[in-house]
Amino acid sequence: MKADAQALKGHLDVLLLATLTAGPRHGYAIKEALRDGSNGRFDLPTGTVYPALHRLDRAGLITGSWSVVDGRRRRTYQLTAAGRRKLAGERAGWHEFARAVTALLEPDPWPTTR
Amino acid sequence: MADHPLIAGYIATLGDRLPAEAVDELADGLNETFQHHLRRGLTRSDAAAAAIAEFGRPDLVIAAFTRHSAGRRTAVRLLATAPVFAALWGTTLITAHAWTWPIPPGAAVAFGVTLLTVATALVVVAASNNPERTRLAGPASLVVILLDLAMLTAVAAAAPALTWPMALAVPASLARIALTARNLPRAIAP
Repeated sequence: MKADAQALKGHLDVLLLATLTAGPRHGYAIKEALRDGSNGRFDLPTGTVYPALHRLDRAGLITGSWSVVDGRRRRTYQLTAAGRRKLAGERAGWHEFARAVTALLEPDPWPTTR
Repeated sequence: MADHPLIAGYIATLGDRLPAEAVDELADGLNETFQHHLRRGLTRSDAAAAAIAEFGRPDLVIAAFTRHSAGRRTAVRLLATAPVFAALWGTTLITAHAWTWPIPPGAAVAFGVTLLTVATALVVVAASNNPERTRLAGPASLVVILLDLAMLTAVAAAAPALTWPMALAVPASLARIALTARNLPRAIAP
């Protein structure tokens, strides 16, 4: 099932940062990592991933660099130190949030009887 | 260099509306998507059509770039904080009886007209999907700084005494001047 843009609102930045944890990637590989890592749920139009990458680059959270591969100019993106810090902070916040939501939504265990 | 006329046409459409730096990134991504579909065994025409379909309509991509642009985000931030400044300065002017200050009426009218104009410009930028319009955020930011400076100068020159609302409004405006000035290069950049 594909997620609509609304479902990703507010989370796209950190998800894009997370796709770069393993190392530098090309834009298309980032898009694929986002789709595959979410079991196909976050399958965004490729063209809409680039504006977010462009903004993260300008914000200093990732850095893009051009190289020439097989005669073709390729742009790869990688996390900066600020991006790693941001990702670590967002991860911690997310885990805390998820624990709180799970605690509220999960049904209480049946009381034990003797 | 685009590898197929369909790709070239798509990139040209983006090139008409977006900065060159952004178009270079998108062209690289679109070509990579095209290559991906070629590797899957599609013909060149089918691969080009599939790449464009996967990339999304040009207006969608342009709207996404506009939404993420520094200019639009600047406009949204300035508009979001505007009610606070309106409340602070409104209270300051009323409690300090600003209508008794020795300020030429023409200057007060010019201030009001400029304020309305810049507010309109910021609303246009925040609501627009047109990247050309987001460039208004740079000059609008500069005008916001000048309006804050004008207000501070008026208070320093004409206010008879310091009031509590003024003691809040002045540092708030100084902070906005500093933050807006720091963000100005990004807001002005294409």
